[in-house]
Amino acid sequence: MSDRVAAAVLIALSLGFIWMATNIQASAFNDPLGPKWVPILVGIFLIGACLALLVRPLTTVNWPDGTTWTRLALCLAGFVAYAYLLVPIGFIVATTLAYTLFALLFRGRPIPALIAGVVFSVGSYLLFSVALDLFLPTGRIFQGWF
Amino acid sequence: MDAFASLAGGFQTALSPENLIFAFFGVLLGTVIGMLPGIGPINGIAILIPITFALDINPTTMMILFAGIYYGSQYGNSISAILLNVPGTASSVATTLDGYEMSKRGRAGPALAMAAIASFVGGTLAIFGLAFLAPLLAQWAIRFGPAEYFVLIVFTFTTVSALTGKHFLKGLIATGIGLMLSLVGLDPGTGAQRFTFGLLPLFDGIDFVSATIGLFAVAEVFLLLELTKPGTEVRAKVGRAMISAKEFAQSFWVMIRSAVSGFLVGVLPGAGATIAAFLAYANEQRWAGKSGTFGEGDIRGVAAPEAANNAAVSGALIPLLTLGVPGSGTTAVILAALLSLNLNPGPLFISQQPDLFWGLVASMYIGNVMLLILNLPLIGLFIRLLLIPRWVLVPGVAVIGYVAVYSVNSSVFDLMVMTGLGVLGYLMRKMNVPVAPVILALVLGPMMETNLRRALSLAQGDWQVVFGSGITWVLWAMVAGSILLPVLTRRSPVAALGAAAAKREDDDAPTRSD
Repeated sequence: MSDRVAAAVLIALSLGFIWMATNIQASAFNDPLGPKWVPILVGIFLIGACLALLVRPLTTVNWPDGTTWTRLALCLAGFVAYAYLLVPIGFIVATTLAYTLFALLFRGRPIPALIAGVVFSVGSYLLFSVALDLFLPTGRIFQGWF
Repeated sequence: MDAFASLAGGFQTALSPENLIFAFFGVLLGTVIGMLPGIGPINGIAILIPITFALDINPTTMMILFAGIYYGSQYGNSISAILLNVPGTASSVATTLDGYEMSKRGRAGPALAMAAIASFVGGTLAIFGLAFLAPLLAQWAIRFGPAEYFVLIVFTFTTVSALTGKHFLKGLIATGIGLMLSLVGLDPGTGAQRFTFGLLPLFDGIDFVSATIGLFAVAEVFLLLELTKPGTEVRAKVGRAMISAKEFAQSFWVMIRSAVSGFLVGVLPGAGATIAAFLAYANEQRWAGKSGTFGEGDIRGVAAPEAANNAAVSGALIPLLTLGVPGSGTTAVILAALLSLNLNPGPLFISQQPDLFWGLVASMYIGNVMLLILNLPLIGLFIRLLLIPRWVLVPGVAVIGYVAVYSVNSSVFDLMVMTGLGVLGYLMRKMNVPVAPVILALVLGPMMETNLRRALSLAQGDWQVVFGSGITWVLWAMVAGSILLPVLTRRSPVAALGAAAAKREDDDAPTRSD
């Protein structure tokens, strides 16, 4: 069943992909194929492969149960929130929060998880930003503090 | 001979203090990455790419570092395979069969020592193959034009689809998804916008670092989250990591044979270290016949896959360096890194960049010696790392992946691409769709299109150009073979290697830890 749903979704996506490809605008000087045709061929290829899967599904999938879905959703929310908080609250605070959330999801105990989060975020800031000179945001809310 | 003079020059390059330090750092990190379930060489390399760019180290040193991680991980993965029955990466799944049996019987020490020695033999023998075969292949490949390149990339896609994962069809679907992702961005030929939705960050296409870390590391975090079992424990007593002279003599030819077959399998696109290891294991099981106790803790069952998977890694560097067409996810990521530095591996690469190629080859000899030292007397230190609980390790990997992706463009958009592809990677792995073909297609897709369009424009739009030479016909026959074999046998060649092989996943994906 999962195979069939995935195949159907991919076929719909491929149709949209091909439709977008036909609208690509470009003058093609000495370029017989142009920018349109490879996307169209890729779309047709994927539709063909997915039709085969739709006709003859291959595997059944053991999807996780309800509580695991909740943990997965929390984990995903953690990733998204981490990305959007990074610039406003800075690398160290955002990383502490994200690390602690992930550690809790992996069944760490709260206090050790928080301690590990602080140690890890400060340590990785020193390693990546100070020692290796990568750019990591210090945080908009801390502006003027340093 | 010319090759020896070049190799001497290579040692001069490799022995510079900077290159020695990075080689050591690479093999050390590789051992750790290979040993810890959930990271794998492809993530390790993807994470280090932005760091090496920021440090502005030269390309030779970068290649020495990446190769060190790649072959170092083949040493490390046997440690957890033997002690925990959990291979660090899929290429040592075959090692668990006898390695874990040995450690259950209190012979973990000899098993670890055998794994290290076999890895060393496989690794060093294969470097000879790399040093002598790569220049030959490069000379032959000089005749490749755009049409030949186009067909070669098609061949890479079909073999990788057939050999990575359990179902050929799902491999093809993964390739198709990767090709779609590769088409996002400004068209290199005309500058037309394709699938950008007008979003500025998409004009440059989907960044391969975000894609790799998303599809592999983030997806792995989701997958690990499903496992409710608490962290694994090291139960076996290790004892002294040493083997007897008798055991060495018994395994000597096993290692040599497995190294040769592993190397040759490694050169093929898509086959890689995992298949090399299973093939060597199956061969030696047959060779030993009744005298073997394979599956019950035969030391030759550790020697064969470990010699083969290390040899395969050196073999896998050949198509990358001589054709510029990698055959696995990890080598595709290395290619993408070289391309970002405006280095284009191909037939002329070795003659244009002799310092890089011969320096790399020489550093691999040095690196393997370092690994032997790290993995024999110092093995006890590494084993302690296996005691890190999962709730400490996995968040750490996630955060480091974040830092790497963010530091490429300082872009939150890239982080969202990474997270989105993490969800895609999770769904794909749950549904038995291999992930490595996506990365391969993402890196090779633009190359395939450019070569096809160049070939057609040189031929004034005549489609027959893709059948225009003897080489293209040979390559098309190989494409047909790679499609027909799995279809005719109704099962993938991987499954044909036996029930044990059914446990495997992507070559490049870290293994599930259950």
